[in-house]
Formats: sequence, C-alpha cells, structure tokens
Amino acid sequence: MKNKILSVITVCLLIIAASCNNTSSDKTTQSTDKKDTAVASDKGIGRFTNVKLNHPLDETMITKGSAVYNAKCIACHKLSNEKLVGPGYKGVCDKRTPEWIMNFITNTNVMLDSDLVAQQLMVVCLARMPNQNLSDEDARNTLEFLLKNDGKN
Amino acid sequence: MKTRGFWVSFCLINLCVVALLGVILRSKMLFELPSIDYNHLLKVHSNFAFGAWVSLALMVLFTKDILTEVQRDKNIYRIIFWGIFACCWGLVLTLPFAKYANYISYISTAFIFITYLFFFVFINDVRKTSASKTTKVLAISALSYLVLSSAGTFMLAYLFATKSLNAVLYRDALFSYLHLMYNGFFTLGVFALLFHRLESKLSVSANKNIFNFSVLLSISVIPSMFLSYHWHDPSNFIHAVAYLGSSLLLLSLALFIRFLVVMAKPFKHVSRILKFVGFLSIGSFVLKMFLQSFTIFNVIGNPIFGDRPMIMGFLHLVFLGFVTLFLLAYFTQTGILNLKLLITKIALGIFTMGIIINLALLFIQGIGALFMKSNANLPWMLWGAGLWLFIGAFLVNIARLSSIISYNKAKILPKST
Repeated sequence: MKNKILSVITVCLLIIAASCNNTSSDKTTQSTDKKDTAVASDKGIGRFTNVKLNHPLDETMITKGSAVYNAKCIACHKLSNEKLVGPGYKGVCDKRTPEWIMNFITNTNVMLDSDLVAQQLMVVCLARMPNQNLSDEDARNTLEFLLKNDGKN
Repeated sequence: MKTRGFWVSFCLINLCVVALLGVILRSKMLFELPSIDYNHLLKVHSNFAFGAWVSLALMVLFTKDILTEVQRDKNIYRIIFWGIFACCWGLVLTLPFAKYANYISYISTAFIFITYLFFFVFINDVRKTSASKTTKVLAISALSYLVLSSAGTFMLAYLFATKSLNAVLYRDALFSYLHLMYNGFFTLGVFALLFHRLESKLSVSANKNIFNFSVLLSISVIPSMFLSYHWHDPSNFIHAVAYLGSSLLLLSLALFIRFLVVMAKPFKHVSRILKFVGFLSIGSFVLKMFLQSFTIFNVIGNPIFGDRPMIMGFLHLVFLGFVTLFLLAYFTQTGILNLKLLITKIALGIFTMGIIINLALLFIQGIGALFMKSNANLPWMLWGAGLWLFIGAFLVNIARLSSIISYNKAKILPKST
C-alpha cells in the first residue's frame, strides 16, 4: 500500500514539475511574479503615451467598440460598476487615463506583470485577464465605447 | 444500506441545483445582483457539478453495478457517499458568505481526501470481482486520474494562498486539473459503465476491440494533457509529448468509430428517444476527441485556450453533451427512470433540447469571439437556455419521483389482486 501511495505522489510531483518547467521564450505570454518590482504609472506601460480624444465622440467608433465589447469582453465585464469575473466598466474613464486603458488592452501581459494598479485589480478579482490580441484600431474603438458608457462627449 | 436508486435520486436533485446555480450565474451577467460574488458562485457551481452530480453518480454506479453484492453493501461506501454529499452541500451553504471564501478550500480538501479513500477501497474490491479486464482497466484508470487531478487543485490552492500572479503556472494547474477530471475520470468512468453492461452482449472479437480501445484511451490521458501546455510556447519535450497525445487521441477515436456499428446493435430495440439521447452523447464524445486533438495546431489551440466562451463551450460539451446525457440514458436503460411514463419522455426531450441549444449558443459565442462577430442578444439567449436546462432538470426529478411511485404501485398491485 505504501508503495502505491509513493507512486501516486511521485507522478503528482512529475506533473507539477512538468508544469513548472516551461521555458517560454515569448515575453508576451511569459509571466513571473514581479509584484515587488511593479511600477505605479498613470499612463501604464506600453507604446501609448498620448491618446487624442474626440469631441464629440465618434459614433462610428462607438458602434465598432460596442461590437468588440460584445464579442470579447462581455463574458467577464459588465457595463455597470458591478464586478463579474473582472471589474465593471462604469467609471473606468474617470479612474484611469486613456493611455492606461489603451496600454492595458493592447499590452495586457506586461501590464499585469509590471503595473501596480493592474496587479491590485488582479488580486481583487483573483483572475488574470488573458491577452485578447486586439488590434490598435479595435482597442481605440473600445476606448471610445467606454467613454460613451461613462457619459463623456 | 441505501439502494442504488436512493443515491441516484440524490444525484438528480444535485443536477437540478447545478442548473439553478447556472441560471443565477447567467442572471448575474444581465441583472444587478451586487450581493452575489460571481467568482465565488462560479466555484460553487463547478465544484458542485463535479462532486455532487458526476463524481457521486459515477462512484455510486461503480459501486452498485460493478462490485459484488457483499462488497457494495459495505459500510465504508455509505460513509464515503454521505461524506461527498456533505462536502458538496457544504459548498452551497458557503454561498451567502463570500468573504469567507477560504471555506471552499477546506471543503474541497476534505472532498479530495474522500476521493482518495474511495480510490483505495474500490480498487481493493474491484480486483476481487469477476468484472472483465476492460471494466477493470477503465475503472481503475478513471479513479487514478481523479486522484491525480488533486495535484492541480493543490497547486491552485497554493497559488491563491500565496497570492501568486504566475499566469503560466496558474493556467497549467487549472488546465491539468480540468483535463484529468474531464478526459480522465469522467470519460473513462462513462466507458467503464457502458462496456460493463455491453460486453456480455458482444462477440469475442468485438470485446477484444473494446479492450484495445480502452487501453489506448486510458494511456492517452497523460500525453494528451500536454496539449494543455502547448499554448505557451513550450519546450521541445512538451511539444513532442503533446504530438504523441494528439496522435493517440485520433488513433483511439478511429478504433472507436470502427466498432461503433457493432456496439450499437444491442440497442436496436430501445425506444427512439433513448437512441437519440445516446446518439447525442456519443456524438459529443467524438466531437470532443476531434477538437481536443486539433488543439495541437497553434492556429487552433492558441486562440481557444485564451477564449473564455470557447473553453466554456468545450467544458459544457463534455460535461453536458457527453457525460450528463450518458448518465441519463444509463438511468433510463437500467430502469431508474421509467420510460413508459410520458413525463420521463417529456423530461428527457426538454432537457436534451436544452443541452443542444446551450451548447450551440456557447460555441456561437466562442467562435464569434475568435472572429470578432457578436450579437448583443446572445447573453439573453444563454440566460434563456440556462433557464430551459433548469426546467428540464426539474422535470427529470419529477420523472424520477413518478418512476418511484409507479414501481411502488406495481409492487403493491399483485398483492392486492
């Protein structure tokens, strides 16, 4: 019986070792626990350092952004401030800068690894958002939709 | 000692609760329900579905249908079933106390240790039975993978406890756990029960084919688990084992399809609705095997492993389409649900339609997410499908109750006449 238990434990350990031993070279999907070195920045981390907003908001972009939301985001995020898997979207444009939102959408893994605010959100939600592979244009349309959702014009 | 029917009745009530929790989850997406924590509810929904519905049903059927009369009446099995029952209902009772989510970890740990106990007791007993090699291979493999899956649970618990944000480890632990449960315990468990009933009705050569398929399917579980690690640009070793897993899946599927016609013969005279349910269950298994083996190609695997609706579609395909439909067909075929009653036919029809609609909508949503196509009404349709499933599960329970009443009447009537 002891031998059986030992073999079960050994196989368990082998599987865990296999899971740990993934030497990924892709920095966009690889993640390590870098909480201690996380940076707090109001613009987040990524190539968006200056996002120009439309006044008034562009209705065509809002429609396209709404389609992105319905396809990619709706399973985890509500448009109210109620948390589902991830936080609700209401008020996000008041709490975060447009650059932070754009960087988070397009550079999700790096932001979750290195941005303090993104990490705090992840701890609250106990879930890590997967990269949705959105193009810059889709991300910008989504931002327009979020601005509309927050009553901006 | 409680009868097989007593525990199956409990399992069917649990199925209804699973469906109800599913409706609440869908409702949370559409309505303002601030008092409900979605993630907590999701954990209870999935753990209750795994434990109180499928695991309990499989363990009860393993014990009552595979073991000998003396073995199945042992007290230890009664303790195990009550233990599982207590753990699963304990999970539901934690629902109003989301901030004490740690209770879920304690209860899940207790559940795991009960499954270990079942593993040792059942394997010790089944070895002494006259069950065929095929049944033994499948049942023992199924339970071994159930025990192994706990490594994934413990890893997840460790990551949550240490608030680790390691995405790769988190997803690998989760996918390993799900793989070993769905493709290991559930799938092999289903075939153990199916073949145990079938083999006496099949020829020697057909039984030989079934045995080869069973061995191949059991072996394929470990290498095919590496398909779950394939999404994060793995090492050559993981890549190679994943290829082996994919090939073994396709090979066992080819074997399965080859003897499908022979296997269907004993069911020639069963009712049309039962044939339909069985066909859908087997169809779901075939589809699952195809989908799983094709994730080896990055162009399919990468988006699927990052697409939540698609993952949910796959999980529900196995859970509802394959396993749940099989269990309902099995209950009907073995007389637990009386198919002579109209309510049983209605219940099976409505529940099966609910599963088809639910799966179709989940895959439409999943594929839509991949190709950036959407429909704002989909969440409402999914909510409707969830409600439909709940009504179907409720009717299945009414059918069970009616079956018990009709059997009791049939027992009393001969005495009074």
